[in-house]
Amino acid sequence: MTSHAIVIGSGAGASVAAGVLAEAGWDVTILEKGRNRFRGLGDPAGLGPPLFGGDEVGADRFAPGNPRTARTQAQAAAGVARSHVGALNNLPQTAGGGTIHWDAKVPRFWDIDFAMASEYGPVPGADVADWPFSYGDLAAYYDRVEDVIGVAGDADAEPDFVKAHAPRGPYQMPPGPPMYGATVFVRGAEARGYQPYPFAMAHNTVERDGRPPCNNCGFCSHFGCTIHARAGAAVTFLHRALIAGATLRTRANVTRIIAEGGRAVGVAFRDGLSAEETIEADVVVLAASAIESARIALLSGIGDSSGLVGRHLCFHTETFAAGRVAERLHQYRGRSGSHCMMEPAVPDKATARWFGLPYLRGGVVEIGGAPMLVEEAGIYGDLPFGRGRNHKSMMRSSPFRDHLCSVQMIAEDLAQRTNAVDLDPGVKDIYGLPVARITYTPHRHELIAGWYWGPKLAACLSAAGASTTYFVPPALNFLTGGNPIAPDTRHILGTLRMGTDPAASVTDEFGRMHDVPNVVVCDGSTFPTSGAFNPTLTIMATSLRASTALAHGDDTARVGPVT
Amino acid sequence: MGSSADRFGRRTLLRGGRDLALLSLAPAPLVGALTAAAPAAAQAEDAGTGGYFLTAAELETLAAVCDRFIPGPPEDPDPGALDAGVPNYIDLFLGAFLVGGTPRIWAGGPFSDRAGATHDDFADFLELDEIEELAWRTRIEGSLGIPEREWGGPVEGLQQKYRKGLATLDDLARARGGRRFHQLPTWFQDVLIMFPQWGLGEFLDLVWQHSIEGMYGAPEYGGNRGLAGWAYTQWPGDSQPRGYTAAEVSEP
Repeated sequence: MTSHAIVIGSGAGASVAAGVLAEAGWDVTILEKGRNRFRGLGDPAGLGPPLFGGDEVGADRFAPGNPRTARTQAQAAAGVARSHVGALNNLPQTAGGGTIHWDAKVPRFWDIDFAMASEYGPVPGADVADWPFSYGDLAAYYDRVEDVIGVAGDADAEPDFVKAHAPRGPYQMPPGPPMYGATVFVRGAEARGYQPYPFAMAHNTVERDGRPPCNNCGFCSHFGCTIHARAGAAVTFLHRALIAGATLRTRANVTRIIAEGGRAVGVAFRDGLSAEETIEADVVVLAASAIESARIALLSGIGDSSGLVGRHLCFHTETFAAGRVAERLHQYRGRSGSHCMMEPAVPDKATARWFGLPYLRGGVVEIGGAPMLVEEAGIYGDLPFGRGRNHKSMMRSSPFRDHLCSVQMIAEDLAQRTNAVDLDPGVKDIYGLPVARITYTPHRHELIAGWYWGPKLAACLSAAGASTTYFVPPALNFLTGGNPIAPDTRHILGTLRMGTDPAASVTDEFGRMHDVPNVVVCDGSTFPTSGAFNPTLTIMATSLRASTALAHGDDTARVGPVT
Repeated sequence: MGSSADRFGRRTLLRGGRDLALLSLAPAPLVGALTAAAPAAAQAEDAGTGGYFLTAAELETLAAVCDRFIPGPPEDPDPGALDAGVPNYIDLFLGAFLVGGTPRIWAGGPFSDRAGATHDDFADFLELDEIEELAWRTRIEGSLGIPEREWGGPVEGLQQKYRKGLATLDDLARARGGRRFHQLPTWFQDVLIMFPQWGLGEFLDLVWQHSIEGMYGAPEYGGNRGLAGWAYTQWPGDSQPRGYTAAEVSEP
């Protein structure tokens, strides 16, 4: 008898699972909360033009009706219910999920990311844990995901320490053209002894998989790719899943997973504003991204015998460094950054001792990219007397966009039990369900790492010839994300931690909930630690590992060649 | 100081003339975009009968605020918010469900006709589904005591915020300056809107955010008329399907 899986979500992790299960002959129903803005998704004849464009106003108009609330750890301890209501790291609610607006930077995690606790020791005040598998266990799944989505990069250009921490074969395609603004920083970084290199990116640089090469339109990060040159979950795994027979139900808002006696038997959801309906299932794949997956688990009352559902929420922190350059950098052309620099991801034990920490670790430095025009205007408008005559003057001279050479470091955010998602006791969404409440305060490790690396990045800019160089440490970045609590990275990890001990984790190494093993979590919520790199490739590889075992009913099953 | 009402009228006329001059110099696609985006604005502002949501008097006050936020000639050499139709953008947004047709919430895709495509897909706004319509009506119109809009309690809509904010600004102008806001000299207007101590900060932040969207966003939403916001900032706007060559990306 054919097994029926319900996949909750259609983003990076969900689409991989849906694709694997559908191609293995399962009956798959995908419940996506948002709409489908693709034409021809699942049509064997091919994808058509999508219903989004290089439109900054529309891209910033997230559908209202799904607020989140937030507070700091100190506020929580003082009994404050919430200090923020509104957006917080919201990902696109649409077919394809967060990979609609990503700029497809796809570094792999390093070997040490899977073993930070055993390799570098526990961190006071944090809950660092090893992953239940190693880089070696995941490598074949990285290979397979990269082969499906297609990655442009230059393995030979990677510095030796990167090759040692994340060994790999050649990329599918050569890198795209270097962005001029990125090469300005690269010169300065090289002068300071660093080894920046082309950032691995899941965008075509040659025609591949029926999709054209990228033509550098510039509307990359925060925008859907209008020509399908950039890969995402939708145009790869989800498209394949639908061709293999999976059903995509859009505007399907899951209200709960129905479980009886330690087994999930189905899912209740609402189609638009219609009355709740239920579908039975043999397996439920939960992959709505870390905040929403934890919320669904809590709404369903499942998986929480450890008391850890929603805990260990991580975001990554951002440290920004910038300087003014004389020429215009035209970073509206290209791919929202073309290079990266990985030295800050190497744990530093010597410096850390000053602060009673076993190590200090930043993360990947993204090089290139700049604000869009409305965003730039907003930056000036937030300055004292930045509106009016001064505004026009600044928009002409563009110190914070076209003459700004900037980088951002996306750094590891240490897992803390007290950083958590729970159900807000007072605020409800458009369906009348309690919204996710985030309690979050960064560990001092993250703040110190930002203060340590920020000046070094600014020094690279000075070496590149930039004037008025400066950096913004992570704590101040909170001011710019539209919420006062959490960094605005859109990297959401943790909350349904995987591990071998059911008392210390929610899911096992294949994403199965210890309490409800036929609920398989396939998104970033299973990550025990946040790593120091953009997480989506690792989400997809982890989902592929879990769904391969699921599809074959065999934990020793290994991923096969791409067909 | 002359009558500000005169000043407003005169400047509108002057700008109209300059827009026409610009038009004659503009390349054909730009003219298309301009004329496509303009008619609603012309109705809203020049007929003197109010816009889709805002009254004629409210539009006068709003226009004066937008003009102070993003001034045009003679104060600044480049076109400002009034040249770009920013008040019209805001009125269209507030009146999204009053205009008729598909609300201009999300532009369609994938391409406008500004970078090589023949049809302007942006102008084919996306139909809202029932959840989106409920959510956007609630945000724009407020919950108005309608049970299905009060999932999160009563909501003050953007319409009420503007109506109340513009009235409060005029009240403040009368109390401090003896006349309506748009009739005050510009330095006086600046004192009222650039300082936080009058308690209007939250409303003015809202107007500011909408002003920059209307000035620098895609013209299909009803602002950025004549691509005024993109021209003086050297911003090329959406670039598909033409895109950029490798040399344009990599060279200075």
